[in-house]
Amino acid sequence: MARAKASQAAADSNKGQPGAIDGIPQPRFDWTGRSNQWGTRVKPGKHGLRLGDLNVGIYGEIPEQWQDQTRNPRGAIPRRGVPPIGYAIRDKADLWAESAADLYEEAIQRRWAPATDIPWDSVTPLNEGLERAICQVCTELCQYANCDIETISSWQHQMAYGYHEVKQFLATAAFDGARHFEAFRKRALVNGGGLGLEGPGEVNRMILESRGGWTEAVAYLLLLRGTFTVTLLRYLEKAACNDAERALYQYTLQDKARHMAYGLEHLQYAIAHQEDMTLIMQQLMFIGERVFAREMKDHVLREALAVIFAGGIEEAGTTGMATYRQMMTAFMQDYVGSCEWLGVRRNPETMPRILVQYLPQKEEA
Amino acid sequence: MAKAQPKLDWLNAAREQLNVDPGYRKLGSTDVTLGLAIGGECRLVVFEAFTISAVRVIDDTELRDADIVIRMTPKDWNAYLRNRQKGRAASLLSLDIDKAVVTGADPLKRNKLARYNLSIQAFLDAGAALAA
Repeated sequence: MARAKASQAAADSNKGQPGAIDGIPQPRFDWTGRSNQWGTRVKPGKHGLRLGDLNVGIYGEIPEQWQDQTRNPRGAIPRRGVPPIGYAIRDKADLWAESAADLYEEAIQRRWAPATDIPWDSVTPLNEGLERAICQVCTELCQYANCDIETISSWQHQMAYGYHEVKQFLATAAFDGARHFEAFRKRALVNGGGLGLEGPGEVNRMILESRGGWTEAVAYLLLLRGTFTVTLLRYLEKAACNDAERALYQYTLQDKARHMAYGLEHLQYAIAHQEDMTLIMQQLMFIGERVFAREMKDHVLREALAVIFAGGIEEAGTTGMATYRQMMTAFMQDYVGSCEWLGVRRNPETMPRILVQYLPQKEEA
Repeated sequence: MAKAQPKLDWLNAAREQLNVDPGYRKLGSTDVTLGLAIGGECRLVVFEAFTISAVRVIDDTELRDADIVIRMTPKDWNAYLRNRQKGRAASLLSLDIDKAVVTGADPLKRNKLARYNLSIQAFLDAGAALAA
């Protein structure tokens, strides 16, 4: 009230002054000259002027913990009395990955548009069994993409602004999810087919309901589900029936691989900077593998993939399933390999049999 | 019968071609060092931002500087380029599923094959056309 009166008084005092605008207070310019660091002059490099290039001087000081509870951009002078937003994630170890700024730039620069970058005209009629299988897989991939969007969105607003590189990268990852949803839906509806059965969604629920922190969500969303999706997209690319599908899987694969880069780097950082995180991760993966294994018992995705790999229903039970087995072996090797690289050892004796069966058996000495 | 010589003389020409190709630039920035170990011949191809900044002849010990390495026999390599040029060969991604031709020192580095698959394939395809 007092401030409003002062403002009105300033506006009134303006009256009659040469060049003054009626009703607008006389400018004071007392905010100029206030900066924590002035004279910053960042120059663009080969990549252009990147977000990460701006991390110079105080603007590049990224603390282990971010105390500020407002939207104050890192390096700016805080305003007193701003009500706290209530950010829950304020420790660097809970979200950081060194490459986050670069991955953000990469996401912007490697963007693509399903409407125009996919040669949809190359899609021609397929045998019905194959078309149904492709539509079924695209239906489930739409669900995966939705899970990406919802999971990232549900954590992103809890992250403190001191780590804006991660928040911005995750904004692109959520948008990637939206684009993947769009692209897979388009493939399902472009060739005389339609969406198929909803997938079981148990892993989606596990990811969405992970409450132990963003790192836990990353372990499920990227280390487990992400590794599976990347493997799936690679095998779908190999089995693509036309240039449109080939491009679709190649583009989505590069996006998912970028998400994986963040995921692996973040988990590596979290494990290196938090006591007990290795043991926590082991326990998390122990739980996650069981939910994942239960979902893999659902025959629909398995059979649809086998049909795609065989080019139709006739050979799906033989050559198609053999390729499915090969794909699952590749997934398990990559998953276990990534876990071990992170220092999160997996013991085949305590992993679900339905998954361990795909790991190559070690020869006894 | 004489051993096949790997076709690698196109690398610099492909580099120069793609560095001025708007289509390649549109794929986005690419940051990966790609090692080629074709028979006894080794090369390092440096993808940096929107260009391919260097192609270097290296010995096999320097392959450790690469994020990912493509290892093939000269015969398979030449056949891959030839068939790719004719539109009869699969992508590098697919070839890797069948023949495990790409390695990376760790999961993060190996992930760069998928992450930059379109740019790496564009380079190989430019080379395939030049080598024909």
